Amino acid sequence: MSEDNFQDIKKNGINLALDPNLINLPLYTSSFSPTGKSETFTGTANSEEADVELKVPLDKKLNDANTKSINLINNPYEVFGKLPLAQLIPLISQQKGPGFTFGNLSEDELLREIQQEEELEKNNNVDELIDRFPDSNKMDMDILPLEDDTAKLSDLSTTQGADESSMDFNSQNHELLGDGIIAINNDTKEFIPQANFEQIRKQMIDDINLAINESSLSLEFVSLLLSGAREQSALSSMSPFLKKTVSPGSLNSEKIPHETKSKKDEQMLAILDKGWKLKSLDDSRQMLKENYAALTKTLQREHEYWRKLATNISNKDVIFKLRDYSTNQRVLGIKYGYGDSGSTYRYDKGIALLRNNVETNKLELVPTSKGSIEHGNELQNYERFIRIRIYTRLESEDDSVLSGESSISNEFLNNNFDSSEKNSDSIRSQISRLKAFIFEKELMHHLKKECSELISFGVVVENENKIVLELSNEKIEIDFVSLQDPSVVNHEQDSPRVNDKRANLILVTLRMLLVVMFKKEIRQTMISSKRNITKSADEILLVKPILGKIRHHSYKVILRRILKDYVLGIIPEASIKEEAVSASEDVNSSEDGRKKVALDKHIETLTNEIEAFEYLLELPVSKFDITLPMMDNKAATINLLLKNPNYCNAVIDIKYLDKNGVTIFNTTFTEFKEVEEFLSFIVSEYSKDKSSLIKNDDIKMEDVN
Amino acid sequence: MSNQVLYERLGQSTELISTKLIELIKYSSVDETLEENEDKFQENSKITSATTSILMVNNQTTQLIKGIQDLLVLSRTIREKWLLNQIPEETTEQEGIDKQELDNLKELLKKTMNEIVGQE
Repeated sequence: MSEDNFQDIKKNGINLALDPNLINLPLYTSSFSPTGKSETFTGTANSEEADVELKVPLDKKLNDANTKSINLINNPYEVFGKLPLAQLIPLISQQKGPGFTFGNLSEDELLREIQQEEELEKNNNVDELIDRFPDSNKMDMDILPLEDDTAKLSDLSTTQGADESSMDFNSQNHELLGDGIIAINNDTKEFIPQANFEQIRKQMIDDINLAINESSLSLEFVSLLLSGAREQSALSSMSPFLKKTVSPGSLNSEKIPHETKSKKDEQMLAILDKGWKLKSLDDSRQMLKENYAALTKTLQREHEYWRKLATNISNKDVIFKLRDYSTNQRVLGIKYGYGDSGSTYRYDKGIALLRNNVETNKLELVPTSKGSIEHGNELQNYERFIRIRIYTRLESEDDSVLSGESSISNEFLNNNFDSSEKNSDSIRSQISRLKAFIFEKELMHHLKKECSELISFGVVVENENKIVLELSNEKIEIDFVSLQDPSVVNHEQDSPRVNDKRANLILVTLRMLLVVMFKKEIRQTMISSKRNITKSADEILLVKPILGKIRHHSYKVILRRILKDYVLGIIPEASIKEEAVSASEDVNSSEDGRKKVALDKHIETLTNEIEAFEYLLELPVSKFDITLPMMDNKAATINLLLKNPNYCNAVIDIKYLDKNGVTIFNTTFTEFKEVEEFLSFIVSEYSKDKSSLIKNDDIKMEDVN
Repeated sequence: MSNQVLYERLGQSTELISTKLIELIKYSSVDETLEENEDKFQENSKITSATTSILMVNNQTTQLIKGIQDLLVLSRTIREKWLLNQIPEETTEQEGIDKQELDNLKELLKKTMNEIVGQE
């Protein structure tokens, strides 16, 4: 190497064809901040697509290399001048490639090479780029129009400090890179439209941003992890947001040495595993067994319960769910009361609980009104029935003697259901028994209500459970007696009495009248759909029809006596005719009209059934016709009409017609005393008339004579 | 509850019971070859599988029992439905008392009243 050459080299710098990467230059990766550089990247490499993550470092390296090489070129001697020959010579050999010996190196050749390289130098980087990254370049070429590409190339070239105009350079480029360009041209025959390009560009930016985000996230993660060990150094790389929200050192990791188990341990574990499993299976078996037993028991009980229900309960029963307040369980209730049959009794709804007795495993009926407290007292209060007793007054003494008593119906008596009764009938018999009791209860309730207004007719409600009907020669007692009453218990051995039948008939009639009331109520609801729940005493017709009949009879007896004393006794030739006037004929005439209204056959049936009791319900009326014969087959008549307008009192209409059938008097009396007086007055009138007639006759006779 | 709902409930319960039984049988297997986790965490998996299978067996058993109890409740509901929704049959036969009987009744009532009153 000559002095001149060296000077030349010194002046221009050594043109190194070295790949800067071959020399272990420090890379700038450590100082590379993604956020800081991203914009410059998109600026210079905006035309590049493809794998961003791969390309970003490549581009960067390229750039670094460029800047580095500039440095090298500017002052190569700094590095190479100080190298000892022993190092420099192998370096030169390496640069020249294989087959070169240092001995063959001549100055001329070097000068030629330098000249050549000066020309080549401008495209150095482009060559490298194409050689080293043909793939990425190809991809670029696919997308980019040729003009853009070359412009970029020229950009790159100018960064190397070339002085030539870009235009010249371009032409040079084309020549020099002829092969490459042709290849590129072959690949990108079509140009990509602007819109498409924009889209691709946007996509790329997005991808880059994503990459930046991901990398910053991972940096944050590492920083946070590091903050556990070295807080200060970690804090420097943590983002302000992370610093604020997460306390440093909160993330930690540790490496735990993995210990391999010995064969024995493994066996132990396997045994343990199986042991536990067997134990759990055994537990499970036990559990299933216990539950099976319990459930089977329950099922059996349930089955039994429902079987009984199915046999005992027909679809005519009113069944519903309710809560048993004593045990607070939900049970089935059965309605046995007459609420749906026209009953207006509201004090006992007639509801019983269907309870399964656990001990006896039998179905029980527990009336709700009885309550859960089954004291004997309560029971006694509930099982009551109506008994009629008739006392006949002894005329000789001021005393009366029991002459008749109604018998106890069998349905009240069979209270042995809980001990001996076969269970198939037990529920039904219990129901019918309860029905009987509630019926009695309601009957008594209505009786009391009715009788409370009949005090002026000798009807006294003595106490809660006793009503007394005072009649002229006897006394009727209506008792609401308990089954446990001593008089009931010892009743069986009583000998039959005279009025037993009458007492029973009265009782039966009372019951039937209650049924009639029910029927009327039903008919009412069917017709008008309105229900008057509170019945006034006037509407209750139980005692009144019976008492009315009895009283009417006694009134008739009195009236007959009066007539006998005041009319028939005085006028011997008078004759009397007595008949009971029935209103039913009038009813019959109007019945047709009513039937037409009753379109529903049920209403019609009810009407018919109620009408059958018309004889009982109608107000008793009796008519007495007294004929007082006069002359010439003519006769004056006295018509007496005995009426009981409210069943119990007596109203007497007296009509007196003279012989010509002209009404002379027509008056109404409520007192028998007045009737007596009036009758005597009529009789005297009649006698006057008659005597005057006789006188007249005598005069006529005299005249004739 | 409508019939549809009852049907659905019945289906659900039976299905639950059968699946739980199948699972129970599966878990009751002591043979290890059937167990799936045979990777590097074998020791861990053994311990966990032991505990989980105990838990699972218990769980399946209780669910099985629960399912059967549900069926019982269901059967009770159906029975109640049957009982409470019975419709009384139309009794066309019983037309009430006919005219003749009503007349008889009237006669009887008259007699009764006469008896009570003490006439004749």
